[in-house]
Amino acid sequence: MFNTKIKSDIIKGVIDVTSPLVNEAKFNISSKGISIRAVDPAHVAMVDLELKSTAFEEYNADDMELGIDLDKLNGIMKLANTGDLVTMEYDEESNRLIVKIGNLVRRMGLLDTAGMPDSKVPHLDLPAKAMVKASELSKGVRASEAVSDHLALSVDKDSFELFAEGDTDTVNLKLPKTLLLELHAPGKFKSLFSIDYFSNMIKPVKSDDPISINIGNDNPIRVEFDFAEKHGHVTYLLAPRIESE
Amino acid sequence: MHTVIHPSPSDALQFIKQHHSSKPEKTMLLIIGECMVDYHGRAKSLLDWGERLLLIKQDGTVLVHQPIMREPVNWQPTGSITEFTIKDNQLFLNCRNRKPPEKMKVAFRQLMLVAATTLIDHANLIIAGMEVDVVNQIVDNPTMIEEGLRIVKREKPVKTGAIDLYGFDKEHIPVVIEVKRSLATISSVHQLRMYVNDIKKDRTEPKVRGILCAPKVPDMVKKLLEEQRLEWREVKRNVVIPDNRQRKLTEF
Repeated sequence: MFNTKIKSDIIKGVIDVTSPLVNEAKFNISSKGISIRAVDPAHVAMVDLELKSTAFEEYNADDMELGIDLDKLNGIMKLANTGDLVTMEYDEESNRLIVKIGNLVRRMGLLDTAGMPDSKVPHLDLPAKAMVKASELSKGVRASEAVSDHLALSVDKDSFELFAEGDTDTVNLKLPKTLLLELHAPGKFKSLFSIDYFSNMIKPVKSDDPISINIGNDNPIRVEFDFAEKHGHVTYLLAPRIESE
Repeated sequence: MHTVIHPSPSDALQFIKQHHSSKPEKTMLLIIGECMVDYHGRAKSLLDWGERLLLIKQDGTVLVHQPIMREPVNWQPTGSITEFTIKDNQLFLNCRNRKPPEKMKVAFRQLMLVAATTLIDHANLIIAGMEVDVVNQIVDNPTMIEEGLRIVKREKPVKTGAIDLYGFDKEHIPVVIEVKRSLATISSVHQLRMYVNDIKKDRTEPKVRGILCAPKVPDMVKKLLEEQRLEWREVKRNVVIPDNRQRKLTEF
């Protein structure tokens, strides 16, 4: 059984977080809520999303997997206005997800989840952590996009720094400890990342919300934030780029 | 680059020993001359004397080219091992490949040129956006269209043109597939419908399926396809531009 009612914005949020990496996703349903874990086809980034049952207005569900075409679900959600309540029900007989928005009923065919593997989370040792306000970070990323396709993120005991270097221009964003919500770094840690991926990861975060960043040296980055008024949590992993010689 | 022109077979052997055999994985060897090729392996073949170009690449690949045509007449894959000897005043090449076990023997009785050099090339070829890409993808993996589909012919000629891909589904019903590079249009629907009708007439089959494959099928086209009892698949082109510097999560 899967019988739920939720604000459309939250489902839109789930799509915004997941769809930059994959077109199709396996929604793992349990009585506690929904989780999605997916890796992009290039194996560069992973998303791990949890949405607690408390995020829903109504939630009744047993353990099951739903294979969802995110483009299709996105199209349906575009029909809903902000604040609209959406009913989502699984119809076992037809293997469809029935989505109701007001008087509109949309029956959506589901995908076979057999072809969607369970991704393994790599074991990472990321010693440094910084909590940055989303608006600060996105300013730096937007500026970097104009000069390069990759950026360096570094953390030391005094600050969090973002640096991008193009052929002629550079961007530097240095946030001292006082402007950070949290900073912990036993040394200096720095890794290089693709701006495309990184920018998609921070885009869904509301500008006043904090983003937690765990970083090592030439290691993947872990980006975490809450959504749906803390009833949802997102963890992204992004593999680094190799520093150019 | 080292070269020797019109060497005797024994001079050629000495040249090869000096410039190739010590570091074959770093040397590209080119031999032009009159040769005979004897191949044993998945099949047997004998190619009588003729003037040809033989290439040994830095990964062991061996290619024997005749003066015409694009494809080599004989070849051995990556990782093949080639040994050189002299017998009856001829230069013999013994090329071996383990998997599958195969052997190619080449005898040169006249040599015009032997050249050895090291080529450095780290670039990858990037090909993007050809209709044939999608066609190849479907041929390689027909399940991307549907489970049980078999492709039997590409570019199948019919009265009104040529069908991109022709095959049978798991119920053995003929399937006509038309591939479009970008947007599926109204005229691609008509084209597909004509092909389906051609097959129906040819085979006097009551049921023939037609599938239009494109990266994007607009709703209006979908509606028309439904009216014509035709199908569609939105097939995304698999173009991944290799990025040597980007690491993967699987490495951690």
